[in-house]
Amino acid sequence: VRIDWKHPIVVLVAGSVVSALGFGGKKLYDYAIDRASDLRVAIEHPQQGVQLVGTTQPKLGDQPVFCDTAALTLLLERTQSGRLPITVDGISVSAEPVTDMAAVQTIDPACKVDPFGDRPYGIGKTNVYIITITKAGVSAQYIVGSSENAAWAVSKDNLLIGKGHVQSILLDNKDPLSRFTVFVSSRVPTPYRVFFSVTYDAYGARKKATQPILITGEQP
Amino acid sequence: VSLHKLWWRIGSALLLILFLLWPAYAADTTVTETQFRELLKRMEPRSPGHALMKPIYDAEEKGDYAKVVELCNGLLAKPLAQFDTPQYGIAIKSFAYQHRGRAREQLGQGFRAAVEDAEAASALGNLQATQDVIKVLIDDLSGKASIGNGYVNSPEKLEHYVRFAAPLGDPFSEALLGLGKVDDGMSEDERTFWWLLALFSDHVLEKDKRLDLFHQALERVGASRVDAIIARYGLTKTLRDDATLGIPGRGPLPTMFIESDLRGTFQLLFGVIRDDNPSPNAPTLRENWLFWRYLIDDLGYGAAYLLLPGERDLGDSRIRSRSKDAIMATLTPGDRVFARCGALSHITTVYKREQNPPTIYFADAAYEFWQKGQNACISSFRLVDGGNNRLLSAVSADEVKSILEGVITIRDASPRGMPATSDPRPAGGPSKIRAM
Repeated sequence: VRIDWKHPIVVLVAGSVVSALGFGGKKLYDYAIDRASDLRVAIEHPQQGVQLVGTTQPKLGDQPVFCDTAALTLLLERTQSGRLPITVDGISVSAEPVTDMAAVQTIDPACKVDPFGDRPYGIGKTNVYIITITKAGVSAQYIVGSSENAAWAVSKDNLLIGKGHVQSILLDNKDPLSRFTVFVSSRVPTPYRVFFSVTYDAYGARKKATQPILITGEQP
Repeated sequence: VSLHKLWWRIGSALLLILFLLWPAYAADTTVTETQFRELLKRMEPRSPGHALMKPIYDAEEKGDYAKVVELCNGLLAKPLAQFDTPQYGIAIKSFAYQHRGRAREQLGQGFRAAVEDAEAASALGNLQATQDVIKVLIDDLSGKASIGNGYVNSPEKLEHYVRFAAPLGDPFSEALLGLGKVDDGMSEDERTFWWLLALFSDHVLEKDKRLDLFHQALERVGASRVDAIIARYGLTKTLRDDATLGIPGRGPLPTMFIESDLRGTFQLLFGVIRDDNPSPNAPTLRENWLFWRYLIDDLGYGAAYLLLPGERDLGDSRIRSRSKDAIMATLTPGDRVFARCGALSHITTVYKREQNPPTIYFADAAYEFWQKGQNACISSFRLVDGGNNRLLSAVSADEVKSILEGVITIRDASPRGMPATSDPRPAGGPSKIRAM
């Protein structure tokens, strides 16, 4: 079969094929770029939240254990590799009793808080999450300020949702990161692994978790 | 070298070492006067001021009294629900009455207008306005300066305001009651109570003069009767030695100091407004303890003791480490309580206790700490009417116990009944508390 490349119909069909290929390629490129939008989730600068008796941070094996209260920053950062904005719709906190290590090792030195280091200065405009571990489970609060209505309980399964309060976070090129100040406190004198999981929409639902920290309540 | 000279040299060397080490050793348990004053500054809660009153102050500065009256009327008409809290609204309205009264007087409406507005402010719980009214009424009754314009004054009216101001720590009103200048049929015992209280509320009175007058009264009335008088008319009471905690009791001298301090703390709950950004440089529990220890030692009223839950030996004769139950059992009005729930920590003052159900009432300007929205450890908190438009913070004793970190209590320097040494300060052993 001989094709007459100068025939108008052939020219039309060939042009259409080239256009379709270009269009498909562009779509494929967009898809790849958009799929590249992603989120970095991390616990930044975790540190001992209250003063200890002595200067040695307790350890379980070779891992540091925060005693009573840990202060940390939860970082959500858009990786900037794609174009689509990212919507964060859930941040959950998990606290799991440490059974594997605790079965063979003890926390050393024991967790003892030094009350002399307490700095009682009230509640201001804080914007912090407070996570509390008790024998009954995990509870979470969000404190905006000192007035009665400026703090509320939030779900441990989604820190962005509280009674009468729902937040969502949009991270785009202009505003690519969000930081949350978090205090994690334990009132149980055995170690817990605490980590945060973030669910977000970046060309489809995705989920990422932070590395865990270890925390224990004050020990008798 | 003779043996005598050798001993002399060894002794001198030891003295030199002791002399060089002494400042560091002494700093363990005390602060210097400079450090004390610096702590005093840091302990004052930051107040943002009353922003709602600012336009009124500005108009006063410009001498625009018609504008002052207009602005005050605006605040007085504003519904309480539109203020940060109803109690804050009440306080602001009382300030508005005070400023409106002065402005009306300036506008030629007569002194009576100022007095009546001050009375309206007093009715809302404003102590300063009440003090102003008392002075004016006395001047009017004594013929020194007439209010005029048909104002009806009477000794009963004066008694009403004196009876309002004295319990809030107004030394002048307390002295009027104590000296029997306002005699509404009170007993000799009650008169004694107000006289003793006036001695401690009057901060201008020299320390030595106050102590002289106090001891004269104590000698005249008798220590055991003074104990009974304080128990009947006071918010506090004298205390027996505490064998469980191993601390002295509290005689009339430190008790009346605490009584006055507690009434002053309660009075300051009127119109309290806190800074949204409290100072992160607020003193720690250690610094609060050193502050109170220095203050009470310096005043010579007794001694401050720190009670810590647990079984720590800090090697300090003024610190006791005992079970939370033992500490809670001894908690008494006037004690400073430290509490902590995770990262939130707090200091407050016990106002009163109730046994059924076991409840602690705090005179607490920073009551937000106890709100369950902010504090995951507390669910029983409620604000209750303490009288005169001041609110007390009520929390169940069990919940207070669960987050108790320490208590500063003021007691005698030595066990009651034991002769005091010439230095009222008990000998303190070396402390393991680090200096500031």
